[in-house]
Amino acid sequence: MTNNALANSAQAAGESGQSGQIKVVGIAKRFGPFQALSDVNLEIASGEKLVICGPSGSGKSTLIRCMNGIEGHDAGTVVVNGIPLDKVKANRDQIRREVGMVFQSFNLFPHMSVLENCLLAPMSVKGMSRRDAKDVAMHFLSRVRIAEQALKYPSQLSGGQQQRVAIARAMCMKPKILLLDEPTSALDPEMVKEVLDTMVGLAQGGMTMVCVTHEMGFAREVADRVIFMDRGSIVEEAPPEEFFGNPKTPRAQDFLAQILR
Amino acid sequence: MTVFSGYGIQLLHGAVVSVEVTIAALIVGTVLGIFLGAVKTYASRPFRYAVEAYTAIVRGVPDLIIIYLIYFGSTIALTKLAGEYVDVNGFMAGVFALAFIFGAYASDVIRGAIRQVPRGQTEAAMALGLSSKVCFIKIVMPQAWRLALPGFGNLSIILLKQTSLISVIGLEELLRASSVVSGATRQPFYVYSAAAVIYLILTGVATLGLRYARKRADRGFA
Ligand SMILES: Nc1ncnc2c1ncn2[C@@H]1O[C@H](COP(=O)(O)OP(=O)(O)OP(=O)(O)O)[C@@H](O)[C@H]1O
Ligand SMILES: [Mg+2]
Repeated sequence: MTNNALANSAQAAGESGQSGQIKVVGIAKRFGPFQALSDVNLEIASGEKLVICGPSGSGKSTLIRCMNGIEGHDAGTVVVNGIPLDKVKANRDQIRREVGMVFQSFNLFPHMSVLENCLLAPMSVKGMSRRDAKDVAMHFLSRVRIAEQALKYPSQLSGGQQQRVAIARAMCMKPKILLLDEPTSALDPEMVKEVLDTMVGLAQGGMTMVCVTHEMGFAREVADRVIFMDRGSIVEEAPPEEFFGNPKTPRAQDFLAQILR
Repeated sequence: MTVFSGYGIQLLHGAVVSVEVTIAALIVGTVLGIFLGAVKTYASRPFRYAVEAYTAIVRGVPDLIIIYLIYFGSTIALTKLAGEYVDVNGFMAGVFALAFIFGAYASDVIRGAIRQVPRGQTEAAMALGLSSKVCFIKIVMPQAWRLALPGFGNLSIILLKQTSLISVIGLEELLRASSVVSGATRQPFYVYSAAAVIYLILTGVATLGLRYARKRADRGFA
C-alpha cells in the first residue's frame, strides 16, 4: 500500500468507521483505597443505544464519566471516535467537542438564561456566530418543546423542563455521542415521562447514546444492549428483552427483583 | 458657622480624594484578590504557599506599618532605580498600599466563594468542551462573585475608612484636610464631627451601591 492509500484508509476509519464509537479496554479507577472500576472492557458501536444499570455505588457514573474524561482512569485505555482519551489536552478537547453529557442534577448554569446556556459552548468552543448559534439553539429548544421559555432562568423552570434544557444544551454541540447519567432520577415522578419521551425522540437519530438508567420501559424501547454493573465490573450484558426477562447472574436477578418491587 | 465656608471646600476636596483613593484601590485590590483567590484554589503547592504567606503578613502586620513600608520602600527602590532622589507620589503609594491590604483579605473571600460553587458546574462546563479559562470567567466567577459579595462589601466599607490611614504619608484626603482645617479654625470638635458625618454619608452611599450589586448578582437565583 502506498502512503497515500494508507492515509486515505485511516481517514475513512476516522470519519465513518470509528466516529461515534467508544472502546474501553481494561480500565481501572480507584478513589484512595476504594476500587471503583476494575478491568472494565466495553465496545460501543457507532449509533448504538446502550443502557447501563446496576446497584448504587457499582461504578456506573464513574464508567460513563471516563468516556469524556471528566473522570480520569488509572489504567487501561479509552478510545472515543478513534481518538485516545489520554493526557494529551488536544485529544481531550477534540473528544469533548463530539461527546455531549447530561447529568442527574441537570447542572444548568443558573446565572444564564436558557438560551445563553445553549449559546455558550457553540460560540466559545466552535466559534459560531451568535446568530448561527441562536438558530441551532432555538431548533433544539423547540425539539425539546421549551422554545417559549428561552429567555427564562433555569430556576424559573420545573425539574423536567430543566432537564430538557440540559439535553438541548448538549445537543447544540451536535455531538456524535450523548452520555446520560441517570437523567430522570432527580425528577418528580410526574416529570419523568416528558424527559423519557425526549430521550426516545433523540434515539431515533443515528447518534450513539450511553445512558445510565433504571427505567426499564426506556431500555426496552430504545436500547440495543443493556449492561449490568456490580462492584466496579460489568457482570452481565444482553439485549434488553433477554436481560430483563431472563437475567443469568444471581446478582442481576437480585437487583431486578429489587427495582421491580 | 461662617468660618467653615472657606474651609468647608477644603474638607470636600479631602472627601473627593478619599473617594478617588477608595475607588482606585478597590479596582486594583479586586483584580488582585480574584487573581490570588484563584491561585489559592487552583495553583500548585509552591504558588499557594507563597500567596498564603502574603496573606499571613498582611493579616499580622498593622496596616499603618504596611503603608509606611510601601511608601518608604518604594521611595528607596525608585531612588535606586533612577539614580537620584525620587519623591514618591502619595496618591499612588496610598492606592498601592491599600490595594495590597485589600487584595489579601479579598483573596480569602474569593477562595471561599469559589469553593462554594457546586462541582457539577465545572463538570458541565468541561463536558461542553469549554476551556478552563472560559469556565472560570463565564461559569465559576459569576457564581462565586454572588457568594463573595457580602464579605466583599464589608471589605469595601472598611477600605473606605482605611483611606484615613494614608494621611500619614502626606496625602490630603478627608482626615488630613480635617486636621489642617481644625488647626486653622481651632474648632477641632466641630471639624472632626463634620468629617465623621461625611464618612457616614459615603459609607451609606457605598452600602446602597452594594445592595444594588447584590440584587443584580442574584438574577436567576430563586
Ligand atoms: N470523587 C470520589 N471520591 C471518592 N469516592 C468516589 C468518588 N466518586 C465516586 N466514588 C465512589 O466510587 C464508587 C462508585 O461510584 P459511582 O458514582 O460510579 O457509582 P454509581 O454506580 O454511579 O452509583 P449511584 O447509582 O449511586 O449513582 C462509590 O462507592 C463512590 O462512593
Ligand atoms: Mg451515579
